[in-house]
Amino acid sequence: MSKLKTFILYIILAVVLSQTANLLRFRVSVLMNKLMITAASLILVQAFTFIFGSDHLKWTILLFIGIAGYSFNLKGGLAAAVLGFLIISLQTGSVELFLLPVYLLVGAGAGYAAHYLNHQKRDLHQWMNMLMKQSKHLQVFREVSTTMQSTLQQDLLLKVILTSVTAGHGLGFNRAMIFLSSSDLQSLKGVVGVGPMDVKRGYEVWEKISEDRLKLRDLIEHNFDSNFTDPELNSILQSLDIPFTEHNVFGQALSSQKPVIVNKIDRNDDSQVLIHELFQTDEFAVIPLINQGKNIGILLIDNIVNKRPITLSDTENILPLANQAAIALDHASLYERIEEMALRDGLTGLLNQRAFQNVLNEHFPFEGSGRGPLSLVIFDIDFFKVFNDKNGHLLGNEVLMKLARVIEESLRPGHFSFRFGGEEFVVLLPDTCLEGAGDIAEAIRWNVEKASFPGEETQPNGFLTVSMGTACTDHPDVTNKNELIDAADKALYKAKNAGRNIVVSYKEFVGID
Amino acid sequence: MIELTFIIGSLVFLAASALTSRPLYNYSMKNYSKRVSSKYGFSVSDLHYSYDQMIYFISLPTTLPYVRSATKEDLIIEQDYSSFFYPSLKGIRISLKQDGKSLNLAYLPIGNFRLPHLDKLQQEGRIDEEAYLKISTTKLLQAGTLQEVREEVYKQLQVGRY
Repeated sequence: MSKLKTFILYIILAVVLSQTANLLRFRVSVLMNKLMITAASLILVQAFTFIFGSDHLKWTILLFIGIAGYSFNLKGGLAAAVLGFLIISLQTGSVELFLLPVYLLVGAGAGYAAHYLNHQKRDLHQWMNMLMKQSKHLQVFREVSTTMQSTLQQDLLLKVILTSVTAGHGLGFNRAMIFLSSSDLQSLKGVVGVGPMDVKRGYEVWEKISEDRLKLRDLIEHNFDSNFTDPELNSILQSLDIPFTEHNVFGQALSSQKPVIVNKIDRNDDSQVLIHELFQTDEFAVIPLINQGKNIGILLIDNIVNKRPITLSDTENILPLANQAAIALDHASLYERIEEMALRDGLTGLLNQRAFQNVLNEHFPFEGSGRGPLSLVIFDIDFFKVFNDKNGHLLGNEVLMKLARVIEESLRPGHFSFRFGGEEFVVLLPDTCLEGAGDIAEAIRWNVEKASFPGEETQPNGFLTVSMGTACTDHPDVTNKNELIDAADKALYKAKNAGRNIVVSYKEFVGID
Repeated sequence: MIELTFIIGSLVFLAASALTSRPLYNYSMKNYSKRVSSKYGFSVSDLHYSYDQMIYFISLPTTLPYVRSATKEDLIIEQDYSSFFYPSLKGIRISLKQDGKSLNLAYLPIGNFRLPHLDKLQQEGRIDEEAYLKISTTKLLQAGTLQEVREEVYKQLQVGRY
């Protein structure tokens, strides 16, 4: 056979060997994989010996030793060196001892180099993982902060917090629940939770989210949808009112201002037993939500589905998010309170003029709106100036407060009562016709007449009375909001002129005139 | 000439091993997945998956003008393997190549590529983590999945998450 043919044959053999090894080695374990490529290199060396004789074996065996060192590091390199030496000794029939240290050196060198490279690679991989993890947390924090800063709606904030804690892009916990401090700061009330009640349901939801290709926006919208969140979980959660004491895990987390991981239920702590029994969880973490020393609430997380243990590193990562959430929730709550204060009369607690405009705008029926008729009742206290002159303004204020209670007790849900100014009050009755408004006005008038007010004996009749005017949008004269107010005002004026302590409706008033 | 034959033969052996290891590794994963999926009565193509745990290296949605102006086709998806001789898929890297410059945008580690059905099988003890990894590797390397990942990254860059 010519040299060229032998060369080509050997090259073909090298290709066939490498491809056969590659075809087979990925089907087996990692150890077998390494053994196969090392064995293939030995076969290549042996094939060369077979074709060209054993004269070159002393140095060609280095390929086998090198690959063994690369594959199995130091130990593999050294073992291959010894094996190579034995093969040479057997095949050549002579023991050349000086070869052994050379082979050992090559094997150790290849093994050490491979070990060093693998170590470097592993280090780099660890760094990469760590940086990616941090990058992910930073990204979650950045996105959630931006979203939180864009809203003061508590409902949306809660959804964002829960989604960021449970979604895959976020911190990836299986379940999260939020408890908020009661107004007297004596207890924690369950508000809302995301996640399944049991493992089976968890996988169903997980499959559904993946199947529907739901994005985070969808998840936020659907968070409280029964398709994605077990309604049972929220129903149980919302029934919970856990007292705030130093003796339970909730109190401990809030007073120490640190997360607490519960990995074994303490039977002496009622709150732990309660959470364990209600939510079938054996391990959970309690994250305090605190803003400037104020206890806002608790975020409770667990991994009910995949049972992944919650680590200190997990809770450390969640803390910045929890702190941000606490600030946002506190701001939202303060905003809600300020908004409420801005829309309520400070003395009587009824809605004020500003709120009246909002409600009127919201419920006034215009063409094509599909809303029912809106009725308005306007009334004031008869001879109230006389009352104030005789009894003083402080007692007058008490009367106004009592009257506000009588008005509210006379109304049904969906009705709105306002202090319009001084001793003048307004009631807005959506979806109520003039006749219905007259009945409600009469009920208020009657309730005021029979209620007892401080200092009312000084009134001309010996008791406190109100005069009332009603109007409704179903009257042809009423085409806009001002006309509605004006019509009711005219009816009130008529009631005053007709002797007071009566209800006059705009329709009746027109008829009278 | 004899020495040269061995040296060239060895180089060919090493080069052929290294160059074909990744396609053959992928092929082998595919075969394994096919075997396991037919055993448990599902098809890898029909598996639902989540790339929600993709890690982005820039803000979403981005304000960087050259990223915003990028088209879907400018996004490059590269498979990230552990080594040439003993490859295993570590994840996929998504980058933007414009005017010869490359900017890393996102990375999806294979461990973060989760498939609910496999999670369920694993929880039931029917497959182990290794089998999970092999099947998820097969799924991630499918052309349809890679295309969807590209579209997802593009959308996130333009619209953001929330």
